[in-house]
Amino acid sequence: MLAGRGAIEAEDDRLADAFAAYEPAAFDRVYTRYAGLLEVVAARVLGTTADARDCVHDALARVWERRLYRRERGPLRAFLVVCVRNDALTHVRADARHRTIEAHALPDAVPQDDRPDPIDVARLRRAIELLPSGQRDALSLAYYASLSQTEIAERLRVPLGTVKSRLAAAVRALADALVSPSEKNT
Amino acid sequence: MHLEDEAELYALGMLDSDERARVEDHLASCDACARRVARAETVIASLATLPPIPTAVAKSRRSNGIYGAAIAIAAALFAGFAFGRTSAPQLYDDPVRATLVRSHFRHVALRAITKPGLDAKVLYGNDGAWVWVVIAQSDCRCTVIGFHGSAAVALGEPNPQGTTSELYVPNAQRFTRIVLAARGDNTTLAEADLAY
Repeated sequence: MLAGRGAIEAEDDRLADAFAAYEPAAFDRVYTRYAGLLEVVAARVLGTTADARDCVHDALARVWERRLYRRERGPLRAFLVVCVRNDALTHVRADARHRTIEAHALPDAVPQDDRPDPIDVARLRRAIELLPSGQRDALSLAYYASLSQTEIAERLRVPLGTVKSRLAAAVRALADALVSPSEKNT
Repeated sequence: MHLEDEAELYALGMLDSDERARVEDHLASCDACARRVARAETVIASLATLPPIPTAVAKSRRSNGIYGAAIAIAAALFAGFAFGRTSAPQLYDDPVRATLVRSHFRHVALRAITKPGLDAKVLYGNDGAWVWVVIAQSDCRCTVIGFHGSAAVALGEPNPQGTTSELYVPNAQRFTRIVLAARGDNTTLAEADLAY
């Protein structure tokens, strides 16, 4: 029987506290808890599972050594997903070899505990539908095609500054959509 | 100085190494920007846990077709659903038929999103007081989700009824959208907007 979402979140919170305090045992616990998810995230960008494992290890080591995480950064899981994804994207952009990804090589098994809440996903989908088309197009190219800002500007034939502001506005709109109406009122 | 658009661009993975390092240095000491980046990171983490990028996008990454392919497929990707919560099956009997006979109602077919050929309909009272989801297969393993604007409620799983599976929801409170979320393969099967 799987633990409920609330229990998982409570355990994740405790783990984030320990990690933010850089308790010696926390590194291994975080690795054990999130490696499955983070390897999927990295592999989807890199296209291979072997490189993904290295990428996750390097990203976690960098975060730990540089003490990059603190509780003000919000949920540890989201923080680590972004760190690993950023590292993977940097790697991909520096290495043209990765530019022809075979999709069948990609793992898709996000661990059960880390799958997003269907209601959040439905909210995101709705928010994406409601984005102005210029923002939605830029977001699609940035997120799913992993294009750089310059490549997006060329593709959409708009100035680089416009790409930056559209992407930032799109992410802010989606963040607003993830906040439930009751939280907005507080 | 606080971060501006770099906060969201950082979370989205759009900055180069030098820009990233500058943002990370700033975040080490600025709580306001740390919270702003955290909000953006939550969005990226949600997107990152959805089903993977289909072949068409990955393979066309550098081709001229990428723009169209990426856009066209984004909708399908955002259809990705994880099975997160459900409520106990709602059994019903004659009251549903009785409601149907006595009510003025509307119906709309659900648009199949990731399951072509899925045949499903929503019947709903003109006043929005009830919803009846009927799926033309007996083993549709999914959860029905109702929306009022952006507020969502997991309504339950359809019950097998002979050759169909069905879910009747009394007290529907005028849902504006009904979504079927799959169990198992984490996708949105179908959805429908309800007009009143």
